[in-house]
Amino acid sequence: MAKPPEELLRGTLDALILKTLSWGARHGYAVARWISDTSRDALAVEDRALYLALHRLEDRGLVESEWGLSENNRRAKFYQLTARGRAELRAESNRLARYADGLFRVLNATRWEPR
Amino acid sequence: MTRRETRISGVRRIFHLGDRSVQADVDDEITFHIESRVRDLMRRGESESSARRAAALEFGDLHASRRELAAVDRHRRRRERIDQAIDAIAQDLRHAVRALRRSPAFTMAAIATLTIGIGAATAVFSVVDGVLLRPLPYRDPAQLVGAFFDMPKIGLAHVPQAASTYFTFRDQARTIESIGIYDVQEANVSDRGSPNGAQRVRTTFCTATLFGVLGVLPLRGRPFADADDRPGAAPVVLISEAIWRTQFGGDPSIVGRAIDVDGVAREVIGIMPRGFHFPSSETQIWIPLGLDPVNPPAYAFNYPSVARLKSGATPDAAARELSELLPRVADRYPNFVPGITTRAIMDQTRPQPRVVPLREDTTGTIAGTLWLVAAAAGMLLLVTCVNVANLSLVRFDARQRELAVREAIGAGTPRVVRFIGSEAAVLAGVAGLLGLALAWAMVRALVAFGPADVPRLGEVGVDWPIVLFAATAAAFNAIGCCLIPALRVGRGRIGLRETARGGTASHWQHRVRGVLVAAQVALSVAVLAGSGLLFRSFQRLHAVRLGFDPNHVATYWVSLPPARYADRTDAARFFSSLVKRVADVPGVQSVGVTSRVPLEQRGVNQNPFYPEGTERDDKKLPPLQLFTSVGGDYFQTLRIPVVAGRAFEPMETQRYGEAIISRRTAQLFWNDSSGVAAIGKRFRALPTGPLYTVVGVVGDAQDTTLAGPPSSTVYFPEVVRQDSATRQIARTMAVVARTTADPATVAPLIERAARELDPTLPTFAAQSMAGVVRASTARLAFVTLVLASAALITLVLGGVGLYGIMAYAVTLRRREIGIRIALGASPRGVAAATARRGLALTAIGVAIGVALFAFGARFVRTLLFGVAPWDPVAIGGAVTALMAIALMASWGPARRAARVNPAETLRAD
Repeated sequence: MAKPPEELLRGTLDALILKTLSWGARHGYAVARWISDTSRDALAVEDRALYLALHRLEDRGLVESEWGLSENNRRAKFYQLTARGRAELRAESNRLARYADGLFRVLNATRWEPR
Repeated sequence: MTRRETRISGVRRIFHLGDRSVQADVDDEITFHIESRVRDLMRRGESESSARRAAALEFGDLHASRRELAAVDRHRRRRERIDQAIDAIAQDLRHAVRALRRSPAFTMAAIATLTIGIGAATAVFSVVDGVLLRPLPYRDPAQLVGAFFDMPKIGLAHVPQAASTYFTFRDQARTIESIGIYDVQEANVSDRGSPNGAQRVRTTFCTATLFGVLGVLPLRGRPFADADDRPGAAPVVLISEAIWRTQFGGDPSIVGRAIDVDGVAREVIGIMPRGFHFPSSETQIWIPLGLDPVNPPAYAFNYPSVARLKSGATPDAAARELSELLPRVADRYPNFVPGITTRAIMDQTRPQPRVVPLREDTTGTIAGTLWLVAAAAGMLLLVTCVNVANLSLVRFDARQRELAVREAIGAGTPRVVRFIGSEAAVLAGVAGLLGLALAWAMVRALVAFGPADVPRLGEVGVDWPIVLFAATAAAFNAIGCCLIPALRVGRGRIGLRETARGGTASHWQHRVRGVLVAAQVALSVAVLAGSGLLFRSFQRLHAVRLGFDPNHVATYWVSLPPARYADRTDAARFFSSLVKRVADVPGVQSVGVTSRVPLEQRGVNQNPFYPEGTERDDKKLPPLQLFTSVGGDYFQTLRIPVVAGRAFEPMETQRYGEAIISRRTAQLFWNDSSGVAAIGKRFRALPTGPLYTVVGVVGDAQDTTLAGPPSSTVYFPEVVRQDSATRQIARTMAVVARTTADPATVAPLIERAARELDPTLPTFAAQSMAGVVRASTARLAFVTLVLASAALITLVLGGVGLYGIMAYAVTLRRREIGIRIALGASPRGVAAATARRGLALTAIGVAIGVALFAFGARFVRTLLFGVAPWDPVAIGGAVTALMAIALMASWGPARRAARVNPAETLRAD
């Protein structure tokens, strides 16, 4: 591991989780799988960090949880977005997009000369 | 969810059992994750053991995770629980407000009643707190004491120190760390530059030790040093922060500069901090007494004291030590005044040193009065609480069906109790806020218009402790008025069946309300009798023959600084011209000047009086007489009759050496009630002093107090002619002018006369003589007013309560009454039977009230005048008033009972 993933993902992990939940309620395992599958394992998130983020989002009232049955009929804790969580996701993805855009321009910039 | 489950989760909530389930949930969640991951990996062909390893590795630190997640969840749950509770309370309160708005009559009545109770109690508490309870604003005030003497042998109490006793105690007492004495006077104060802006200012002359005793340093500058306090020291002065701001414009350079105090240039050495008051907030400047410890001006016991006890010493120990030291005063200062030995004085007066905590000493007699007012306010609070409890019960009756339905459909007893409680909370909350506003207004009014002789009253205000008190009073009321209905619900006394049957369910309440009404009546009787007692004292006091006529007399004071009027003749000439000028003012009938105005404290001067031939007897101190200097037409202006001899001549022609005595003085020394025999007799004011000849005897007047025998007074003339070098002359005198018109309209004109003569002189304490008489009874008038208001309110509330219960009783027993009438009872008999219950309740209440009063009356004793604490008129009046109210309250319901139509009531069911 070159860099601790937690470090890399601080701030963006919340956005990823909210995005994952935007298609409906999922349990924590599904969230973890979806992130690692979609990002083709590029965003390796330690599960501990993911759960901590989930529980903190719940504490902030951005997601809510309910116990239900998994695909395999096991008892699992399902998370889903609240209205506030949805708004937060919108705001956060805008912010990240702007950030990524800026980052991208800088990294692809040609040599800069003072005018 | 079933009912059982909710109950369990409720229990869990209450005992915080949620924690264990939080950890279990976290564990379940982690286990589910690991198991799912293991299954997925195994599906991809990994062995179970390697899958488990991989899953655990991917997850990270399991133990830390369990802890972290549980901590986050616990935090969330706690917050949710609080949010829920707040929501529930808010909802309850909203419900309560809605329910109360549906019955505006009850709501208004309850809020108004509670507001009066809470407001009055809070106002009184803020006064009691400010005056009696708060620590004095000095360093370590618990160690501060006042030391004075009781002289039971000559019937005097609370006699202050003499210079000789002060020096002896200061140098020799070991229980006392330091002691200071002081003397409160007044002075004309102005900036050096602008003598015309002089103000009359309360001035405290004190020893340099005083500020050390109090342990307070000036805001700027320095306190007095011992060198400032010697005879002949350079004149200095300390000023208050208030006068620094108002009269000297807050200019810090005032320190080190001189200001003019009674014509003397005194260097301001310091400014005392804001909030420093000594001995009261009226004092604006402090000046060293400059007593000579070797040869002090031993005149009499004139100086109040304040001392700091050594740590560990008690006031009692200090008093014992001072008693032991007393003989040494005579050793050190053998002569009290020239011609009278200190030993003779001690033998005559037998002073007994007393040492009491300073707070007790400064608040003195007002403490009893205030506690009395506090008791009245407390009773008022109780009565209002009882009254609202009563009202709530009525309302509760009316809503019994509604509540029973609520309970039956599963609202649950706690829910109904909460419902009752939140209504009480809303009522008490609103009333608490209104009561606080009322208290604020009352305190402001009291500070502005209350009796002037209450110490520390200026320090009273509404602040946090007061708000806290109001909140407590409101909470007390809230609990008081929901307790009984809530108890009833708690005991399961309501139920659909019971209420449907009617009647029986209400009997319990009916009894409770009976008790409440009897309690109200009892409190009313006690307060009413107390206020009656005070009212009769007040009447008696005002019926006292004054000995002078206060109507249409205007007075004001003027003081001539010795520095400006060095020659005594100058002073007398000033007053002589002032009298002439005032006499020329239109609307003035006659005018005089006097060194003392009847019933005012200013200028009171008591001195021994030696009839010629008795002055050699140094074993015996003659009874003290009130010495007064007068000029102009003093007797004529106040209509004090000359019963023998003549009045003084005009000040220009009056000779020195004459005196006029009151009839009482003539009686005392020459056993002469007509006054004729005293004319021509001679006396001295000091054993070695000059002789005076009695030229007239005048009628007795209530010179110092209304509550007591008239004073024995000796009048000396103000004399312009220079025929004696040794005579004394008064420099601070009051002008008294009899006017044809309202004295208030003439007052500015006669004050202007003084300023026209000398624009540097301030006039002060302008008042009509009738105002002076009123002010002398202000305290009694105030307490009487407070108690009378409390009595009126309790009386009205008591009457309303009684009427309520009687009317309700008739409603309850309508059927029974109908049957009785159908069976042949006379309507008259039915009415009597109904009224009897009300009267019986009242009688019980009255009996308890009289007992309560008998217990409490001892506390009013000091305020009474000419009335015994068990005055039958006061008690009888209170009892009669209550019985009359009870009759009135019973009359309507009894008549309604008599009019019950039997046929109608029987058909009703």
